[in-house]
Amino acid sequence: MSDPESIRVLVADDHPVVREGLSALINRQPDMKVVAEAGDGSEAIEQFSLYRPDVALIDLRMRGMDGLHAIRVICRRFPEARLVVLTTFEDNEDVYRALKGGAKGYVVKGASREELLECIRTVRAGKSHIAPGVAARLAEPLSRPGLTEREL
Amino acid sequence: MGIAIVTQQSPERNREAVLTVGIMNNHGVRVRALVVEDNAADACLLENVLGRIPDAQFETTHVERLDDALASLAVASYDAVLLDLGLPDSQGSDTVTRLRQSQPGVPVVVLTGLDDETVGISAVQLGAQDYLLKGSFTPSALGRSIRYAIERKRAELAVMAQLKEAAIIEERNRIAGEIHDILAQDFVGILLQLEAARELNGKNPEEVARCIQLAEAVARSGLAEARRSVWALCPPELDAEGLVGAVQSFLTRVAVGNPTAIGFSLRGEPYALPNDKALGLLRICQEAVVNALRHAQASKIRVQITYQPSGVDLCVHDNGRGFDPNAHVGGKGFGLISMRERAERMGARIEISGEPGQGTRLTVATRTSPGAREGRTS
Repeated sequence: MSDPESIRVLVADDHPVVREGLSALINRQPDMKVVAEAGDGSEAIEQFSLYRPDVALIDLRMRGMDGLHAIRVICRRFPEARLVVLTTFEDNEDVYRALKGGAKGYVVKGASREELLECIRTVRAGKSHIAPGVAARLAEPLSRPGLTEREL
Repeated sequence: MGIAIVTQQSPERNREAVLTVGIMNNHGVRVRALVVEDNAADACLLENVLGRIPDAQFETTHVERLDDALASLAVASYDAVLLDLGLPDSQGSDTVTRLRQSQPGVPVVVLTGLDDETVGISAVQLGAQDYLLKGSFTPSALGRSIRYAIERKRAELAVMAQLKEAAIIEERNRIAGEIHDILAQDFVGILLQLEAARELNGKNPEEVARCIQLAEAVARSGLAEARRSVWALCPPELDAEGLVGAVQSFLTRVAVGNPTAIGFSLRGEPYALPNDKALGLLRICQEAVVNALRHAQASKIRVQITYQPSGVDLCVHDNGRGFDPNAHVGGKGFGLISMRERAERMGARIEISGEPGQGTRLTVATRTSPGAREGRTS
């Protein structure tokens, strides 16, 4: 458990059972450990600043401050942050905004646990975990007007 | 003559074809007017003035009672109604209210014999487009008043159509949001627990049992949430329990598992309301309470329904963080559009007051039309 090489993870999701389920899943892996949990965006920022996890899983949509906002704030404060977006629907403009805002990967909720775990390991290793189609779209300008970085 | 007169059709019949441009011939614009006047001399005088309006040709139908006017409007379409307020079967501002309730889409110019502006002004506040004092108008003044009434009504209907559309879009977004935030997350939670149970199977029976138990609990709460959503979309027929019962049962449902204290009080003796009014009040109540729970961070919500002979009032008051109602006027947010639109549709007055930090109070006052009060008490 106290393996210094284990990946320290932050889990931010406003659904308690989802959060707990994700944490339990991660904690069952020999090379990972959940060091902090958060129930909304502002908690995510707080916990991230406090624990400086290796990887943070952040749900896009949460009551109170949402995940997109939190991702932008964290990436601005900690440019080296390795964030993974959790999303309910893949075809979501906010996923692109989050990736443009600095997140390194995304996982659709309900994807297999192997994919989630692989994503955490890939992002921890400093690589991106983004499906090819999504990556291609990321190279294009945003199709719909959203908040620019400046508007935050 | 550049003014296009529009023909008003019943909005119920065809919302898309509400407005068609009137026919212009050598005698100017043709206008179908319904004159509602019980005094034969006044009616004769009025028709005479109508006949002398420049650039317009009036086809008038004359009735003496409000009931006859409503019957006539139900079967034929008129461009405008010229309405005397003192009729054998209806007096004063009630005449305007009843006409408007029955035919909300038709432009109305009120003719008042009293040399009293306040009667005319209150008629306009109740929904008439203009008023004229009998005997004091020229043909061109009458013609202008009728044309403006038609134009104003057209603009009003266009705004209402937009509001309605905005309300529908808002409602759809709300439903999508509910599915996303609640149902989809519950499924994700169940999935995670079942996956865990599968993984732990044979290794840790206690943990497996706990995962299954948790999955069950989430499935149950998701089911309750789905039932709640469906119930909110189309509640059971109100007749069975009446407005008070429906509001109470709604409040009981939302109170489950919610730390906010929700109180209900009833004043006056309940009586049966027309279904559209009862449903409108229920919807506004639901919307207001859900807003207070979701956005106001209130610890207390009070719902009060007051039955008065003149109508039913609904008040939803919370002690939450409040908001600036003006900041939301015409804009999005908190279902205000749909609440206003509903109130407008049922001819009710709605007031939403709140200041940041001072809680929010919403009041809806409906007015019962005479004769609609009979029926069982609920």
